[in-house]
Amino acid sequence: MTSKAYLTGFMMSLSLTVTAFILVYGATSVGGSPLSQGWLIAVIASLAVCQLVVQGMYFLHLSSKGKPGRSLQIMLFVLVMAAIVVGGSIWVMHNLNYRMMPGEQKVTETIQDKENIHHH
Amino acid sequence: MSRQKYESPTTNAVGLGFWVYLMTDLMLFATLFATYGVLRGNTAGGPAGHDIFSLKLVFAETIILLVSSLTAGLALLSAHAGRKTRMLQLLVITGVLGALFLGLEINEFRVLLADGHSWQNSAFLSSYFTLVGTHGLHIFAGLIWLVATVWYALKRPLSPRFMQRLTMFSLFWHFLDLVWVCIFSIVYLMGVLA
Repeated sequence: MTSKAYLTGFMMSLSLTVTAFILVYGATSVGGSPLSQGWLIAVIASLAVCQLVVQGMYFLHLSSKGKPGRSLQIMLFVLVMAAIVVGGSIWVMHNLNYRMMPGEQKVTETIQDKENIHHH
Repeated sequence: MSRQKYESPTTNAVGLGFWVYLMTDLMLFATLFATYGVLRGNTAGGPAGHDIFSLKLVFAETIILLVSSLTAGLALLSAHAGRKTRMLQLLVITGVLGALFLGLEINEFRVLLADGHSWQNSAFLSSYFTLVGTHGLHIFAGLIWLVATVWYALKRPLSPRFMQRLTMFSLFWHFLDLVWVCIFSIVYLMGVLA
């Protein structure tokens, strides 16, 4: 590890952070954005993942080569578990909210409407 | 500076154990992120993220923490090169930046509370304060660790034992910056958009 590697990682992280900030600040405070909200969220998520990879490589020195590979293996396993916890919670609770809307009659009507189900 | 062979933190049992601790901490944050992800829409008629977040302030916090992550890494490199004075300078800069970050965060919380947006007002605010507050608590613990490290290094030479401690501290500090990148992107940037 050299200070050059740290500075490379820092500059990359800095530009990723500034890009994400400018995109959102431009869309909310300055005026419109050429991207739709859905795309903007996808871009911000991608920039965040890029920054996690950059900092993992240059700051935490994660690598698949040699003995440090062990720390990467442990981290990948934990990331899979974290993804299951986060993704699973949001998925299950979203479905719960969807099916627990107030008023039984209204729920049935709304779900039928959303799912395009028609009864005679 | 000469190219130092990088010692992986997981080449011995203590380093591996510390890495596993960091990963359990990652799971703690994952559960808090899951809670926030589920509850962020439950504002109980109160404010949502885009009503209360100050993006400029949070951007400043993000840059401050990123620079402190760099100085923590450079301090470790200086120690490997045997440059103790430079290492101490860099550690002090890291600590000052960390304290500045924490001060800005506490002030952010103080303003929210003064405006009547307490954690008791909605599930969104509860999950927000818990997630961001837990990160802030980790930064506070890191600052105490940092003061202890500087205090220790002032009195003693750079021993292998000290190097191990410093390596673990820098891992901890980089890890907290990684978690902050997620908080900045998911809670603040996406919160302002929604």
